[in-house]
Amino acid sequence: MMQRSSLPFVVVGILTFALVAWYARITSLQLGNPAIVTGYTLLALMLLLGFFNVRKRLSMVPVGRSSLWLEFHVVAGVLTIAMFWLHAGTVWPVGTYELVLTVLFYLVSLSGIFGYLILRGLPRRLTQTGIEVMYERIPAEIGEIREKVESLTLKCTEKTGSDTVAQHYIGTLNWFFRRPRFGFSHIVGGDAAGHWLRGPGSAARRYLNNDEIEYFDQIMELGTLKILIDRHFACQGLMKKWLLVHVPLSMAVILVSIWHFLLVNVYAL
Amino acid sequence: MLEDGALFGELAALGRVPRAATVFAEEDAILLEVRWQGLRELRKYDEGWRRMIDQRYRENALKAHLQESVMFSRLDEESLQSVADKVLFETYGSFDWNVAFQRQRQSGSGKEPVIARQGEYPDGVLMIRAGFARVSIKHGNGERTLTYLGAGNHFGLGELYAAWKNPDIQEMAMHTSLSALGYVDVLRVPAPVLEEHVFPFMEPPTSTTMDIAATPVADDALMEWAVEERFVNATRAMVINLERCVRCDDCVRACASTHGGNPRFRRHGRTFDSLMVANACMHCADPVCMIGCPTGAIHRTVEHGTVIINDITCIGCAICANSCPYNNIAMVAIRNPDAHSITDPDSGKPIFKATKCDFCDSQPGGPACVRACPHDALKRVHFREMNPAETGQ
Repeated sequence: MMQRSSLPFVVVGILTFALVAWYARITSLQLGNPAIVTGYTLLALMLLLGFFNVRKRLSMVPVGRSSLWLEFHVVAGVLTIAMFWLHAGTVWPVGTYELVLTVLFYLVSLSGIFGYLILRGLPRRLTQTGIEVMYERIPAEIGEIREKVESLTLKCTEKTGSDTVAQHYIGTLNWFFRRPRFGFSHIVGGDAAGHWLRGPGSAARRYLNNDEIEYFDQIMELGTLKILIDRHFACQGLMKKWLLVHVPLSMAVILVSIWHFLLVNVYAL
Repeated sequence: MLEDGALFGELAALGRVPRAATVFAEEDAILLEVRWQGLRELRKYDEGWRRMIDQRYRENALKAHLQESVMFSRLDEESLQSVADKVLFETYGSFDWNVAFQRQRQSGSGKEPVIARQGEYPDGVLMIRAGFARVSIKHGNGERTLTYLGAGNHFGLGELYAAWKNPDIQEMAMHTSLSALGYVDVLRVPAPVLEEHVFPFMEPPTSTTMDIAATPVADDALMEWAVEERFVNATRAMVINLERCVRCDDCVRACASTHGGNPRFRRHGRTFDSLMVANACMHCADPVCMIGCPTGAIHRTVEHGTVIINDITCIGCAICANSCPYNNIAMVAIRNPDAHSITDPDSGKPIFKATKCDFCDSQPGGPACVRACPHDALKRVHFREMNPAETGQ
């Protein structure tokens, strides 16, 4: 999972942690306040992590490849969690303000780990669909599929004089073709959509004659295509939306931490 | 030494290749520049002009070209001249091959001009001077591409050498076929020339293209696809590894913010396995988009050879956009700083200009799209030098 170019960051991260932990220990033995060095290091790390978002917005400025920034972001993120525990001396502080800060920090960390994992796993699953579709285009693509299905349904009724397919579309298939479905199953790698299409979605097949089956099979083919597009919608959507949690929470943690820093410097030191 | 009335640079201009020599003025000189569009028209309509270019090539550049080849690098001046005198010039495919290729794509069928056919007797080595050619072998009911050749490569040497080395073999036929991928300039070096100047001093070839034929078809499926789609023409294709790409569009946003809010490519394109060649200008080795530009607005930069468009001289005729075989040039309505379309005062219609990836030519730090990708999924690659392992394949 880890890229070779991350190695220098990992080494520097471990060394930084060891150095700060050693210095904090020495300070503690000398009856000093180890929270000063761990706190300043923690704040610096948080600000550096936040700069990744700034770098993304300054893409026209040559400030290093974004991939290097991401590798740094991941390593520094893990280091920040370790540094947080070293600074707090506990995983669950008791003061209300510290508790709020800790909960926010844990949420940011968890959302970061979650994002890292989905960004490693979902692209591969999308590639295996065999199709590529832009996220913004998906509603239009689904609309086009729905129009084709409705047109086939009408044609089937006109040509065969039977409304079995049309009734099945109105009663069952319309729900499926109306909008993206089975999002959670697509995200966790399940096949609920395929299972539904082969089950309730195909329930009318046994009542069709050969002419109707020809149309029905074309509708099922479009259904299979829609499942792939739905998978893109669910996975691409998640890969975009997790940032809507991670980034605002990160900003909140930084702001609360700066306030904590000011309070400590004004009243405690 | 060039003197009054001398002509230079016509071969590079017509071949859409970088200049091979630097010319210095030793004293004040007045020069007349004929843009390549003019040269092209002259070449098209004047047989004498075409003959003169071939003659000048034989006089000026052929010997240097031959000497660059490993086959002839050991020859002295006299032998080299003797080889040069016997070399034949051949051209295959249409100069504006993009038209036939686009037609072929739409209809799904079409034949490439065959330069040498499998099973026929080889009468000389074929050296590619410009363009690309496909080496293929019959496989099942189709043709399997073994490799492709570009400028400086040669074809048929192994078979001719084997025939010379084993004179007892009665029938020596080509093992593979060679066909033109677009427009190809070929030099045919006759077999007797090779027998006199090359074979006696040549080491037996250690490998041949036939070695590739022994590998499973799936091993070179990527290359087959790249040849079929003519991506072999690319020197800076935007290749996206879809197993790494998280579809965040940071590359598109970076491109837009570097180019005044207008991205110069679409993160969409043809895919093979987990690779996508996005619709971004590939800065082709043979940029057919330049054919037909009436003002020369689309051109190569002197410094890096990047194909760029001069916005000032572009008249929005869309010839380049229609010529690009890969649909990588877009026509966009130009706008003033208030984001309103600028219209033609006479017709009232919006003014369009051609726009495409300029490889961030004026930007420090290289293309913004590559720098902006957080997952190293996007690379700009020269297809000939592409290592599939680098793209995660």
